[in-house]
Amino acid sequence: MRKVVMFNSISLEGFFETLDHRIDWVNTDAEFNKFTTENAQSDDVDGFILGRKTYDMMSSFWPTEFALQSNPVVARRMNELPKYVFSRTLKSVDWSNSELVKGDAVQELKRIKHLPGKDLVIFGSGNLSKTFINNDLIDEFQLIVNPILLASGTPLFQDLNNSVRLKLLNVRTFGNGNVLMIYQPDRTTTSDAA
Amino acid sequence: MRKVILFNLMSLDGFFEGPNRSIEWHNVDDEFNDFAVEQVSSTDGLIFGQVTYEMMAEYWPSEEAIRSDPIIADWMNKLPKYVFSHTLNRADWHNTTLVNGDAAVELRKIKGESGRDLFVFGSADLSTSLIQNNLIDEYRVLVNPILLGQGTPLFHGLKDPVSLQHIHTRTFTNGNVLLTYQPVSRAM
Repeated sequence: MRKVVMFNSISLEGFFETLDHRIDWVNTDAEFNKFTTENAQSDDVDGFILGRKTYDMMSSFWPTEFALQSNPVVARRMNELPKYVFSRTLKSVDWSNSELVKGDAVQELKRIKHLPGKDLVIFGSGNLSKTFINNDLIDEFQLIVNPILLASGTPLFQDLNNSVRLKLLNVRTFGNGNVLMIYQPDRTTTSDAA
Repeated sequence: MRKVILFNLMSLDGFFEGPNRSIEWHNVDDEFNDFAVEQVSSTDGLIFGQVTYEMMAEYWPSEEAIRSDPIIADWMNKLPKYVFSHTLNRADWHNTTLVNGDAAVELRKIKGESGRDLFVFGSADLSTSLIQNNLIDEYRVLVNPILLGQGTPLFHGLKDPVSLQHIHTRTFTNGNVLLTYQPVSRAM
């Protein structure tokens, strides 16, 4: 079955955006861009999962001339790969290779995970992520902790129904102070910690 | 001047305690205990807010603590401790000084005294005030491999963002990751 990998940059206190939806604090440089470019070229992934807000943000950025020039490899990949957009309010999706998913998010993601294909990456999408975590549908968490306390913002993980024990797979520290931490849910133990 | 080091265990979703102040999710083992001993033996002063003080003052002198965690208990009981509180009238835990005045002013005084580095454990409310007054010189956050789902955020109520400089990452075999930072204004 296809894995669903959550990929997000967060502040040290766990926010993925400021209250006014800014992500300009995300710490990037040549080394970090090389990492995201290699990630984008990875053969393990052939699809993305997006909530409505993340879709709106990404679809208005990646097809632009600016994105194609400043970040050609990632932009091409983002535009080319299939994207599943989970939304009950959107009427249509115009970004290339996007598919609107209107049904029950849990049932639909289970269906998509069973389709033949490679792994899927979910970006941002706080509410959608919460639903998926609560239903044990996320198979890997890749979090980039940025060296900042934002003071206020939107937590990436919000009000989960249950605690989730994790297994640490890998840690990588970047020269700019970002730390990538990769976890899997530890499905060998029951999650009764809290 | 003495450094003030904030040390805390935190879940991956940013909580330092779960519902009902639960901390039994803390991922501790021999490697962690060695690290904890190293930390307490490097300091000669611990700083607490009232809530954390009351929890610790009840636990560490107890038979249970001395039996299950003798080395740490010995350190915790004998080290000089400062509890910052406007409401406590007395602090009876061995070697504890009650600090009733303005936290920032008082901590600046203590920092100016001769001695080794000081540690703040737990004490989220006090930490907020110390961070905001630029009195924390080093952050050591031990990220535990768990999403608690609910709890009390370690960092809350800050008014302004704080840019940090990453100093060190240490990965423990039990999946804990220690992230060490300095505030950028203090960095070289």
